[in-house]
Amino acid sequence: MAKIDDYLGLSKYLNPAKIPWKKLNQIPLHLIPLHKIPFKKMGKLFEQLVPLKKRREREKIINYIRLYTHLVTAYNLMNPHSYNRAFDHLAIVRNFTKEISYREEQTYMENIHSIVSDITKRKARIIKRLKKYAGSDPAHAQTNLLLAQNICILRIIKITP
Amino acid sequence: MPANKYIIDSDSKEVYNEICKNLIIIDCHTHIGEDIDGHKISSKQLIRSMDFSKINKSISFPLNNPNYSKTFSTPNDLIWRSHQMYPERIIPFFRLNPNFPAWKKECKKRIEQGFTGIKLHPRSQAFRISAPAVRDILAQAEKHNLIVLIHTGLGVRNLVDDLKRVIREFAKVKFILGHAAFIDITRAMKSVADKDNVLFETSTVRMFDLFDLFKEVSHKRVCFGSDIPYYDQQLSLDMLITTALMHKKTPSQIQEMIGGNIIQWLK
Repeated sequence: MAKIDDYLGLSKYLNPAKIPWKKLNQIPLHLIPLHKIPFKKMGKLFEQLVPLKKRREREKIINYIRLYTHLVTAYNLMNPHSYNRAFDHLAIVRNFTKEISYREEQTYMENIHSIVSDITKRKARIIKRLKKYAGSDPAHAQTNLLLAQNICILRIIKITP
Repeated sequence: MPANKYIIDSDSKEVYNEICKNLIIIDCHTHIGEDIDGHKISSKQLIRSMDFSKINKSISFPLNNPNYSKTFSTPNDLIWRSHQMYPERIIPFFRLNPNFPAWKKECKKRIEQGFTGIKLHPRSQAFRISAPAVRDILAQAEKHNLIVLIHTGLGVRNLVDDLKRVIREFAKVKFILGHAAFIDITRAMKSVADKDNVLFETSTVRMFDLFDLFKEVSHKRVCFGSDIPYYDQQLSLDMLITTALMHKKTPSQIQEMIGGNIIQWLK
């Protein structure tokens, strides 16, 4: 089994706090005695292992997956029996897209927000159509939801390194 | 139209510009007019959107307006006027309602006017693709060499069986399957993807279905569509190109999908 010495030629009893930071990120995490690292330097180590850029990308992807899940659920619930729940999910998407503050994703969030707001505005018309013609695409709400879903998927694909 | 447009990110833009260089991009599914549900778009707005997305030409037909849905005469007039206003940009298709015998007169009028194709919407006008009146319309299309775009998206029942039947019966008619038959895409791909007279049009299709489409169907059988004003032209184009690149399609194959295939039919 590899030891810390194999990576740096250092003694395994050496205080990891004294290992140069540039070298520290070359060592697999399980070989570093984390309890010996001063709390102050922990943040720096974490930063080297998972850089901010990568963390932000992951966060963005998770947010898009969250939005996508709500959009798919709303799409599936858009029927005469459960449209109220569909609109609940759309309300979540509306609020969520308002809150997310990544500047680079702002256009896409505004895009999704505008699509969902547009559907919410047409709620009465959509419900009327749903009750009259079950199984149809009421006032093109489902088509619009597909549009929002595809924006999420495209962003996930493009953000993923 | 949605207030905020989807915008391609700068990294992808360079790749797309390279692919789309010296190419005519044709959107095979656009509307002009006003829909019952409040969606509306004028020819000017359509052209603006096309310019924004660098789309050269669009196949356009009326939206679903119940006030005119008996013959679609008024909305078809609007399409013709738009085509006259932008003859190089808008390719006119007329819409018919096979449920009323008045379609015959309307069809004759539009063929004489010089329309390029017909749009049929089995859900909005509540008919089956294999209904006798639809067969009569397809016979007219065959006689006058018109392209037929059929809505094969949400709300159509018995889609693939009916499609198989009419595509076999009217082997000379060129069919564009609007929304790529995504409601039953697996069966549709197995049943009609090998036919030379069929194009799968990609508007409003889920990304996952596009993956399947590119996996199972030749690039020669795919064309680009957006369904504006319900959908976004740039997003549709971005989706098609991104998915095609992930499938390792070559730039020339992508070029055929976003314009080349339909140009062959319009010649």
